[in-house]
Amino acid sequence: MKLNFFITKNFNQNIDKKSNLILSPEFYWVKKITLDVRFTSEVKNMAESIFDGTLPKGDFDYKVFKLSKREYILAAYDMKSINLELQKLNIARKFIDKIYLAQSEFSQEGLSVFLDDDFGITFSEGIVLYAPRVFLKKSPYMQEVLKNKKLSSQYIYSSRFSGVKFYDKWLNFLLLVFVLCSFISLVDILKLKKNINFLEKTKSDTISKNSLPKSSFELKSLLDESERYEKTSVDIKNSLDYVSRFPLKKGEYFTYLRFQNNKIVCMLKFKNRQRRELFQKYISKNRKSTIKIELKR
Amino acid sequence: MKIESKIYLLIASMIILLSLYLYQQKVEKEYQKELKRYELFQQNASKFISLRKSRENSQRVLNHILKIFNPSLHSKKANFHKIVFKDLNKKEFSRLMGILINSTIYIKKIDIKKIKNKIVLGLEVGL
Repeated sequence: MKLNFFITKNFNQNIDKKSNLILSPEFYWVKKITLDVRFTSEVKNMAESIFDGTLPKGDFDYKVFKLSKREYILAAYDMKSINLELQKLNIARKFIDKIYLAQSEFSQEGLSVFLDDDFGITFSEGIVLYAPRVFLKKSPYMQEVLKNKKLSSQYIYSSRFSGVKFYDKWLNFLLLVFVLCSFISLVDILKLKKNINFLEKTKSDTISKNSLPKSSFELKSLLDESERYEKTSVDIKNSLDYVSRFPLKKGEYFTYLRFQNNKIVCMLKFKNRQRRELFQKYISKNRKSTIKIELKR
Repeated sequence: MKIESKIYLLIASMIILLSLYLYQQKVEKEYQKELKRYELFQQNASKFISLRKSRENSQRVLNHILKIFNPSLHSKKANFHKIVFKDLNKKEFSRLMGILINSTIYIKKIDIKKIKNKIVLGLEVGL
């Protein structure tokens, strides 16, 4: 568990472990304002002009605390000068985990805490004040209060994100790139989805327009079957054509022709034996079809 | 905006971008698959349509044959026609064979016999 320290400009303890620091009001400026706006972010946008002319020279950041519906507390702090002050107090940066403002951590109405024999802090009318002890009622000491103190999430610095600020512009750029890429990707997805729908619609239109079988499987099996028929049919016709092209002489004729068991069996009446052999030779040279032609005696 | 909020936003947008990218890949694959399926379907559909046309043509040729050559026997079982021509002369036979060979009619069986001067032709054909 990390230790919590309340830092004043008179702080004289040695910090040698990673700790949380709560800055006393000496380190920042506050202003209580009444504005008719809904969000703290709107107030933050106006912070620079609200503090205009009241702050010393520096690079200020702002934090807004909402008190009531229209009441806000604005805190202005300069991280560079805070870092310099912390260096003066011998607080090494490596031992800082988070830095908080007292304004965010002690905002309980009527709360007072003694810091040492001379000073203390008190919460009055929405603002945490650093005041001489004589003006405060009897209160516990800060060390005791900090022992059980649960800190808020309103820190102004975190070691986890130190150095990241340098890359702020890069972060913005990366964010923009990611958002753009996401948008392009989204558009692409929508385009692809649209294309898929278009293909499906065209398919179903073709089916209904041409009264095709509804499933592709059915269509494919019908085609396969007909292709099989087609191939056999062409083979038979080629063989028949080939046989019928043999030049028969007068008195020669077919007495029988039959297609069975994937072959054509035929019987012919020939004038002599040589003619029969010539026919036999002719049918053996059939290259037009895979169906065999057989001459029967 | 707080720097940490920005970092969280950046991480969230990175996760969103990655998820979108993965989903896009999935949809892209789906699309390619659908496109292939569609091309195959178109191919098969055009084959089927031309097949149907050729069947219609075969039917027309068959009707023509039945009308002109007047078969002695004709029966139909499922898609196949059994036809027997008993009294074909040589000329009729040659003409019939010419039509059959040049048509898209599917010949399942053929049986030719010559009895005296007449030719008997038995056919089993499909469309």
